[in-house]
Amino acid sequence: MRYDAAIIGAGANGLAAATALARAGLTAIVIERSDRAGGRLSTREFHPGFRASPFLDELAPIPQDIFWSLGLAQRGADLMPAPVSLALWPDRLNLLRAGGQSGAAALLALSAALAAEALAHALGEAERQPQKRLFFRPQPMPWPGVEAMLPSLNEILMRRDLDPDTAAHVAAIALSGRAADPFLPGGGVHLLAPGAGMGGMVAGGFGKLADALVRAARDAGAQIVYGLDASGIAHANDRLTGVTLADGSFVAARAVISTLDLKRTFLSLFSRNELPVPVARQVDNFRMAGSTARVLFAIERAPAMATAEALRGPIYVSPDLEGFAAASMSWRAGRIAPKLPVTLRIPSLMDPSLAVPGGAVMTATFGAVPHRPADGAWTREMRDVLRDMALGALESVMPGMAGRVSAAEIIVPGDMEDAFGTTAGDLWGGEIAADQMLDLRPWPDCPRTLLKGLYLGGSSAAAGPLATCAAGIAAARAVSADLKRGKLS
Amino acid sequence: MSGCDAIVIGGGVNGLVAASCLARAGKRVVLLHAGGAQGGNSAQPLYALDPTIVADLQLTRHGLTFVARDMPLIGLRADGRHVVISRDVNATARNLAVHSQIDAEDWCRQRRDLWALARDLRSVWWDVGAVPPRRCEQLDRLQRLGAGAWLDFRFESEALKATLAWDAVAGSPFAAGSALLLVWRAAQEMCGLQGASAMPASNTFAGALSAAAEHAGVTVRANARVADLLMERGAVVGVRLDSGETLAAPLVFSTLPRGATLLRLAHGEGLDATERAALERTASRIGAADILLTLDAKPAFEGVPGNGRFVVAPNWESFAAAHASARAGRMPDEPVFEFVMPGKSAPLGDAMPAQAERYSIRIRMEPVPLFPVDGTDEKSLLAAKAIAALQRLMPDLLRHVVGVNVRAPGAIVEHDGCAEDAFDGNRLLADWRSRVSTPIAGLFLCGVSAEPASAVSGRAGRIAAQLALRGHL
Repeated sequence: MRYDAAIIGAGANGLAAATALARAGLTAIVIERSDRAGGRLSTREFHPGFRASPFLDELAPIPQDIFWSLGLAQRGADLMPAPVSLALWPDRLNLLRAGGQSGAAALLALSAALAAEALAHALGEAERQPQKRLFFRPQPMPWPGVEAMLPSLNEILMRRDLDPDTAAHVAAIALSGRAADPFLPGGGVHLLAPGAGMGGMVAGGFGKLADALVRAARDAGAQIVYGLDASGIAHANDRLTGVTLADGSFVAARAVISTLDLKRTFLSLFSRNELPVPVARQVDNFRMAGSTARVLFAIERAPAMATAEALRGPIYVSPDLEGFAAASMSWRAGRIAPKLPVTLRIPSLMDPSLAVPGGAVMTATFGAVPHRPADGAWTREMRDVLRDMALGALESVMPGMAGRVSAAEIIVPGDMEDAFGTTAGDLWGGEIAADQMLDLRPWPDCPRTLLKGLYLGGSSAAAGPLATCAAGIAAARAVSADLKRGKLS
Repeated sequence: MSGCDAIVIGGGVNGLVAASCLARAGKRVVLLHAGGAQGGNSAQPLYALDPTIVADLQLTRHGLTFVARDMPLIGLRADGRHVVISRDVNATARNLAVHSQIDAEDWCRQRRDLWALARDLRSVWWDVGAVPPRRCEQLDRLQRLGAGAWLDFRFESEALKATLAWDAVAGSPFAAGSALLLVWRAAQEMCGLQGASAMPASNTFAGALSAAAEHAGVTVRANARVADLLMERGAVVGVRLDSGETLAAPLVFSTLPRGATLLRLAHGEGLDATERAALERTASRIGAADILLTLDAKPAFEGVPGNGRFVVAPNWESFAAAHASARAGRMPDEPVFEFVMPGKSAPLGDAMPAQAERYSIRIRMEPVPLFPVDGTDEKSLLAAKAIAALQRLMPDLLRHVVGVNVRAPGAIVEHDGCAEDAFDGNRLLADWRSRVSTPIAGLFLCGVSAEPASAVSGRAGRIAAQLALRGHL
């Protein structure tokens, strides 16, 4: 059978795309390499009785309309709003309540609004017919948010007249897990790609959201197949014909949505000499570099923390702008800075089912951790350095806690690459930078590509870092629009 | 209170040009210069000198001569395989083949692409108007791109990228918009003396400008530091000097940075709190140091093909590292700098013993911190770093050094009361009117910081004078 659309990857984007396409009356198949859906949305047991989401604690928000149109609430996904976040210096702390009245909350709200506007624009662009190049090309509409992100993060914070602590707190929120220099022009873009403390959590862990997405896709009539690895895109006469699988079988399709990142899409599904030179250049020059490492802690006998509301949200340890800049420089040189920005969380406070009774699960998320250290591969000692840093941060927040840790798991960017296949362990599908966001991510006609019928629907696409599921929806809309116009045979 | 038609504050290149242009239009002009000697920052190779100024002010008749024209950009490498980028595309490509075959084959095309972009950007520099709207899309993209990424995008060889990155040194190569600086430099070369850089014979540039100003009838007053501006109803009416003396004029041109002019001289007049805060913020934390080494003989400098602008930088990341440490107030571990060797020269300055022949090396080190945090003796450290790096290239350098003269950026800031404005990609694409005018009627900016990106061109002085003559007199 020939499908209207084949979707590579059953992550949030792939499942959302399949649901949207099937709802539009098209036949869709999702091809997943592993034996479970969800991609990075997973919850697993890392120590007997203790479960955690290994790759993330918090999700970029799912836009309300997408959340409800996919019917996720009816299928068991319960999104919890962002709680208060806490920034901690050695001698003082700063509390920030999401949706509060402070200047910081106003800035975060403004960024969220800008990101939503940009997303609406991206979805609109996806449905718009690509313009032919005639004698001239009409000036494209500028994307919302482009102007706002040109200054440096520091500049944006200073314009708001925030006190230094609050400014550092907002920077920590925007840069959590990333490796960016807040003083560099163009860094304002980090506010558009929501960081920790701006998104939401899922009750019962992210696995619950993945289950709801799978159910939505199934209910709509989309097919999901597991354990099949897409190995190539078949095409003839500049038109796409389907997906070849690693086991030699072939899935015929009129359109293919790849939710893999840009590099993996073009470098693993095509052979190098199939790519036109300009595409190869653009793929090569798209910067992807992991910067996030995580440490998961199992604590058998935790002290009572249930009343501490401030501990429910992210806790930023030693966030200071100069520190981010220094960490970013070391990261670029392939070194681990002596002081890394850390975000601590206690997911079991929000969701007690993650730990054994009386126990707790804590996570530490590091930014500015190089994917490939300058002096070779990741060693046991380097992992231990991360663990000790995380323990130190933990001890500074809750003295005595480090001694109670019974197990720790360390996840470095390379582990993330192995686990769900994003190049270099980059959680955002490409460095968040002024020249790699919005209309330039990864090129102006996104989600369409130069090969007719191939669409980008992953985190490397324009809508990717703006919101969860959004890139998949954008690609699905582009596919349905093009099929309707008869652009795809 | 004595009166005149216009006052120009600052006796640098732009100040002299503005004063001469105004005087030639028949105005009575007084040029106030805080120091003794004139010429400001004119000891640098001129890659961007406005040829109209040379012609209009008849600088060659007033003594301007060049010791070198069409100076190639030479990236010095530790292994002796230097990168020579000259106007001759084929020769450059041949030279690049040592480093990368791909870059060599591509050079012609890359050069053409760069110059096509530069042609579009040229209007920002050349005309008073803005960029033609049709090409904005491409330039907008560059405004969001770092120079490092841009170079990575185009070239393979580290040596070539490091050499070219010097042209974007005003902004960290990771900063969005620094790619525009590379195009900007090409545009300046295109509009300037129609070649690569030229090195004026020592002091003849400043001398020619002074002579031209004198010829045009400008009254030059040295040692006249301006304390503040006199204002009435939002318009400037004159200046008050440090000595307490006042001078009346309906037009005042300042070569100081925007922040220094509006905040220190005008006391924030006509600015609301937000604008004032913005101006205070834009002051840069980094600057450039000029180091002049005087030598008693030509040092051994092997394997270098002729004269040029020499750039010392291992790779483009070293620019980023230098920026990061400079911003944090530390001296870069590995300084990046450019130097020129003007050849034999007459003795310079007053500190030199009066001897017949001297060789000199002029070094421009950028970026360096304005004020080092650790309180080190900045001047000697800067010179020591530069000499140490140069010694690897010229083994017998130390034997020949007879004089070291350092102009650290902090000294300039203390003098002006405000740092230069930090690099801003937005400013590059803004039109001249917005850069030259101020919220105060009759007050114009004509210094280097009114230029899109700092370079000695004399253009700011000329355009400010032109605009003022056209609209406000």
